[in-house]
Amino acid sequence: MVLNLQTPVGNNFLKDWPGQNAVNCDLIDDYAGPCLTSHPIQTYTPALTASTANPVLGTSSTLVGMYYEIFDQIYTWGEFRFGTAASIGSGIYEISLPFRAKSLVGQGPSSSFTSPPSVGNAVVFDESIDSGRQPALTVLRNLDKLSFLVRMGTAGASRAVSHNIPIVWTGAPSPADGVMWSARYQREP
Amino acid sequence: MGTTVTTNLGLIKPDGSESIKENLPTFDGWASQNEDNMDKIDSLFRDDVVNSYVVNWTASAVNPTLGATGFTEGKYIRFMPRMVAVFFRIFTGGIGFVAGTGLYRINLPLAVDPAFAAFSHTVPIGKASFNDASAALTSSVFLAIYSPASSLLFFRPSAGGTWDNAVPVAPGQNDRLAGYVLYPTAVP
Repeated sequence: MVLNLQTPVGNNFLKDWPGQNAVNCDLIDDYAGPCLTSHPIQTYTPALTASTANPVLGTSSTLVGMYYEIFDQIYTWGEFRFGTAASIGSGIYEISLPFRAKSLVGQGPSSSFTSPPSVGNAVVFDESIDSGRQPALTVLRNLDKLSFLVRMGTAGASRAVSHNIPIVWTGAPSPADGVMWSARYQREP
Repeated sequence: MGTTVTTNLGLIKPDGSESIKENLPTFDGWASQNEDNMDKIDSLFRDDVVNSYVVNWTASAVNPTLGATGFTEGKYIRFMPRMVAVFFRIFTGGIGFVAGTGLYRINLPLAVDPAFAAFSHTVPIGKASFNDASAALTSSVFLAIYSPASSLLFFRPSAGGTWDNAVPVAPGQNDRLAGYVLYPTAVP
């Protein structure tokens, strides 16, 4: 991001300087927006989807999304937990972002860094037993969605959280199993 | 003669050619106004003081007791300006250390934004490492999680569960925990 603040040059800069400063003040102010002074934490409704068939959260489930915007940096937190009569869907679980990400750093055929970029932390929450509540990594699945990676067994490998990884999801007693996450990324433009 | 201010930050904008003049009875002059702007921008972007706070390491049943030379330490800094970065560490110390019983937790230096009360249980806000002085294999990477119900910080070991006097291993003398969290406060 470039603010293009005006720098005085030439023989008459003292004459021009107040006007240039007024422009600079506006540029800085526009860029900052209200985030540095009055902006409260914002809420949004994340969409929970899956790569094959979307899950349905069910009755008395939870779905929370929050973000704090500092310039083009987004700090976001959220959770979903299944409720009764939930449908766990099929495939890798995905969570929508509050704003489209600017880029998937390093991801692409020309890059040696082909794993999805890590942008935060998560917990796979097993409601029934504390030992089943395990850490996960929050990653950018694409420019619009997050997904989660968990450590698998003793082999050290990691896999994406999905309808059958790493736990058998249940929705009762509601709210039951789910994921809590945090992430930080750069938004468009 | 006069000035206007910007919408969000309240930066003073010079108003015409007279604004570069020095102090007048009804006008501070642009040099002084510019100084005000610099201070305002500076304070909004970052508190330049690294603050200290007392880390209270407690347990849900019986609190642990630090041994000889044991200590806890906490530092934090504000930026942008509602966000807080906190760094903490615990050294259990030598002779005299008692692990206590129950789930371990520590306090935070500043209140988390009350909007986090919307979370049904906990939310991850940082990471920590646990170093077992007697056995490297039982050292662990922890997830630092905030509990809105208690306003305290808990930890989940890499294999799951919650850090306590037995999981992932009973802490002993000269063990260490060090980590960070990042979270928003309600007001700058």
